[in-house]
Amino acid sequence: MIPDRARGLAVARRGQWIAGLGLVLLAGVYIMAQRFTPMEVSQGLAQKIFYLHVPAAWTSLLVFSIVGITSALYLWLRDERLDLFAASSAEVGVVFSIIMLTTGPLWAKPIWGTWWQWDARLTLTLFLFFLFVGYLSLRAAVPDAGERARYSAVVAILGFLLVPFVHLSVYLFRTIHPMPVVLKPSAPSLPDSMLRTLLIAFVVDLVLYIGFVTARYGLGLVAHARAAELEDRTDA
Amino acid sequence: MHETPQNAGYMIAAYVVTAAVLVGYWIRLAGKIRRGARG
Repeated sequence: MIPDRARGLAVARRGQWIAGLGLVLLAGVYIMAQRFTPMEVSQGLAQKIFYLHVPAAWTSLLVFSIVGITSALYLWLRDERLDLFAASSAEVGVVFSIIMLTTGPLWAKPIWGTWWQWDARLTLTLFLFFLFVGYLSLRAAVPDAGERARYSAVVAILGFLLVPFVHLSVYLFRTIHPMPVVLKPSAPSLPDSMLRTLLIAFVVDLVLYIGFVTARYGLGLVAHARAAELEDRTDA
Repeated sequence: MHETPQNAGYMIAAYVVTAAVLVGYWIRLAGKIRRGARG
């Protein structure tokens, strides 16, 4: 793959615009959650953290699944674009994980009376975050492109295997984390007004993911093009 | 009668952190794109 640098920059700029649109839509989610979604009486305003925490958790689990699947496809097809897409997605997944892991304790402190509990859901989620931080560190540490892609693909697949355990941990283990209110076999157990805000917030997170991953992928193309240019100059 | 807890500070902190992380990442990418354009 020898990409054109101008094309990479065009892709990155397109991603920047989409992510910018996502940020504007996020402001809309803030207004919707504050002004047009009822307050839950027993939890108070802290319950409104739910509209940021849950979509960020869904997005990061979805993104880490995409990284795992794309990495498996890379090991099969050996297409560098799949490796670049997996790496771009992993970075964005870590960003959403940071939101999940900071908004969660901010909800837990007033509701549970503690910032953190070492229960199965929280601990597995933290491990998944560390695993993908490790994935990004590994990529930064291995200079050879082929080795970097292979090693990191294996780590990503292992991370992907953890995703179902994170989701099912509330059923498999004794945990104080709330049970799923939407992603469960029966109908969502939320009033329509709350469910609407939650789903819109998730769609906005997906727009942000698409924008960020496109920008990151475009920057990856630029880096590849620059490396190819340097190689050409060295050969000449 | 049940009293609604007063915990708006935690909600505000969560909303500020989320916006800071996402806007911060957007600015970081924008900087990289600018540097990439300069060569």
